[in-house]
Amino acid sequence: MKQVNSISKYLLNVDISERETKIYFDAIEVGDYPLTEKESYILSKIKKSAFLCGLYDSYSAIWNPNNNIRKRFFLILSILETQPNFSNKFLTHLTLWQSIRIMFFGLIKYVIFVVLGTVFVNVLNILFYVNRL
Amino acid sequence: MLTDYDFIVVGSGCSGVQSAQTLLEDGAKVLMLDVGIQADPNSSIIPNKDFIAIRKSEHNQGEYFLGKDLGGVERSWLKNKNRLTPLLEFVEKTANGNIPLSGLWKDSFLESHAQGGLGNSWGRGVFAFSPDEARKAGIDFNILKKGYEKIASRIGVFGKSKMSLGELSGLEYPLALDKSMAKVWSKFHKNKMEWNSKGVFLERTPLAISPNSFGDNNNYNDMDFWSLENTQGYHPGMTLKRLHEYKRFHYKGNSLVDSYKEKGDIVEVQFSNTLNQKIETLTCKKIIICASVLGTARIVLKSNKAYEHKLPFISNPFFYTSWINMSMLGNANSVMRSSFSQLSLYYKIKEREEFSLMNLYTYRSLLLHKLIREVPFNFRLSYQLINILKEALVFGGVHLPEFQEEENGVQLVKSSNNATGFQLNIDYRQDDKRIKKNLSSIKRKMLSLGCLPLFSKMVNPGSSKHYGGTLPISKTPKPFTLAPSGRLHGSKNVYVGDASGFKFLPAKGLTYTIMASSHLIALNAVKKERYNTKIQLMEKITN
Ligand SMILES: Cc1cc2nc3c(=O)[nH]c(=O)nc-3n(C[C@H](O)[C@H](O)[C@H](O)COP(=O)(O)OP(=O)(O)OC[C@H]3O[C@@H](n4cnc5c(N)ncnc54)[C@H](O)[C@@H]3O)c2cc1C
Repeated sequence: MKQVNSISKYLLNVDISERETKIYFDAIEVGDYPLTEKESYILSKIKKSAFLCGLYDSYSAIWNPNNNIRKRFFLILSILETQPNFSNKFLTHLTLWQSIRIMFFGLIKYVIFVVLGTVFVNVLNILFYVNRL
Repeated sequence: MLTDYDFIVVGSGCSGVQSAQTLLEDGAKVLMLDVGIQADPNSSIIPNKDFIAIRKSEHNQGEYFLGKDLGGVERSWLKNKNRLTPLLEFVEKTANGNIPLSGLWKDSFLESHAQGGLGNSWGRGVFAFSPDEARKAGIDFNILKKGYEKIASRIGVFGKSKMSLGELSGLEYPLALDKSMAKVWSKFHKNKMEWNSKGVFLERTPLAISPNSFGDNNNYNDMDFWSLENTQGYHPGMTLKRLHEYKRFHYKGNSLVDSYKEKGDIVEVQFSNTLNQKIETLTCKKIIICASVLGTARIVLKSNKAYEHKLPFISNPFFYTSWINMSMLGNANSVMRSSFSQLSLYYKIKEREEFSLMNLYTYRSLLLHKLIREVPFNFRLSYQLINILKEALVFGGVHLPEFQEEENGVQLVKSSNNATGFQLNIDYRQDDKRIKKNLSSIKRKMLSLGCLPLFSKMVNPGSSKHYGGTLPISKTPKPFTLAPSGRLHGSKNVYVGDASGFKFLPAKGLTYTIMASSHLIALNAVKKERYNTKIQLMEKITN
């Protein structure tokens, strides 16, 4: 639950219910969502915080966009889009002014997240290898 | 001459059902042999509401929008494997299992072994060949025109566009444009004369909307790509339902036609049951093969034992484009819309060339997460970007005209990896330079219409799903060609009702022409049969 909630919080800034969590875990069970040892380690570290999820995603969008953790983020995004509770997040019309504001701050945040994310993921990588030794 | 049926029609796609209806209207006893599996029974779980109402109220919408066990999400993640929406996936499910394709691009050529064929998922864009295009395809336009009008009365054609439909009669008014498309339309019309003088034409896309089944016009519920039950867009299942009302109509499903044999005036048709592999034979006076271009090629080559013989083959080059309609930024688009193409942009690269065609759609009902996946930022920013642009997004599917090229063709080759012992090999080359030229030409035009290019996607040969030319129409009786009547040269009673005969594929969709010509071919065959019966009767009397 915590894992899915952090990711949803990062993606759309929403809190999810047990219903969406169940859909997510059911899908993972039957679908093809494997994780490598390193990915499991990273997920275990980022799943508690929406902020860390954001750092990781910003880093991997540039360096490794097709990784398995992002595939899970994408699964949650699809689930949220098809839940009536969150449909407004995808259907509401934004004015030009709102759009400019969102994009302006969004882009600045993205650049900062990419820089921080690169440092963060490299630290996680080192920790992963140190733990294995 | 005793046969099981007057006619056997192979296939229940757009061509098969129209042929069968014509034969039945003329009083013949008809058997339709079809390998096609039936529509996904889950289609009925989609409530008959519009897209927005469903999104806001239905808790189980994930089951149909994302598919069983959310399998559609994985296919979206893989990007290129996402061809049809989950409940329409039955359309392409079994074809490759029954008789596989081979060749470099085998995965992009789409075949359907479904009841109703590819017509379950077609975009409903109806386009009539011009007299010149019909001539190049090998068809007599004056006769074809009657076919178009007959089919319009059966399927409902909404649109009066000149480039797309010429001067046909019996057509309905086009569907309403949404706000975004109306802005592009009005921008074009401000300088219409100038555009036209440069050989650029913008028209409202004519659509096959079945008026008889549901009322007089589209319900604009924007669910057209999701299920067959909540769309007014014509699909062959609508005609098939009507065919079952005739007592003289018989339908045999799960029947994979292997070959035919002519014995005097009788045609023996051999087919196998896909459930128990039992092989059966039935007889008829005439067979009309409507198994789609690739399916028909298999049957004809197998019946003639023409293994390794290469038949010519044509498929329109195709690519996707996406645009931001700048005048829609900050504006809301219409709530009620249809998912189908709204505008058709005709243009030429060189004056003496044939027209290329881009069909324009606004985007909503295919959901945003698929687009978010395409944006190279993190998911949060990608979501924000697509959410902002959603009302202004415009998609274009571009088709290029295609003539027969010598190196492109299909061959039936022996293979040990499936029950039939054969596979169909496709050899196809596409001119990528030509596609790039088209892309840059369109970019200039769309910019002038206020649309900024977003991304474009080159796709493999075969992705247009428009195929033809394997058994080209020929007035001289050469092997593996069709007489203008649709009869296979060298045969007495074998007719082909799909696009196999078309020697040229204009950029326009070909399905309206397939339906018109299959109706005419059936009409020809049934008249010929009546004439033969009369002669035989007279011979009997005089003897
Ligand atoms: C996504 C999509 C969008 C499209 N949009 C448009 C559009 O907007 N406009 C347009 O003009 N065209 C469009 N098309 C193309 C259109 O769908 C096809 O041209 C048309 O459906 C072809 O009809 P057909 O009857 O020739 O073949 P099919 O529809 O392929 O039907 C073949 C039938 O034969 C049966 N069959 C095959 N082999 C055998 C066998 N050996 N034994 C027994 N039965 C057999 C199958 O079960 C099937 O019922 C689109 C196609 C797709 C996939």
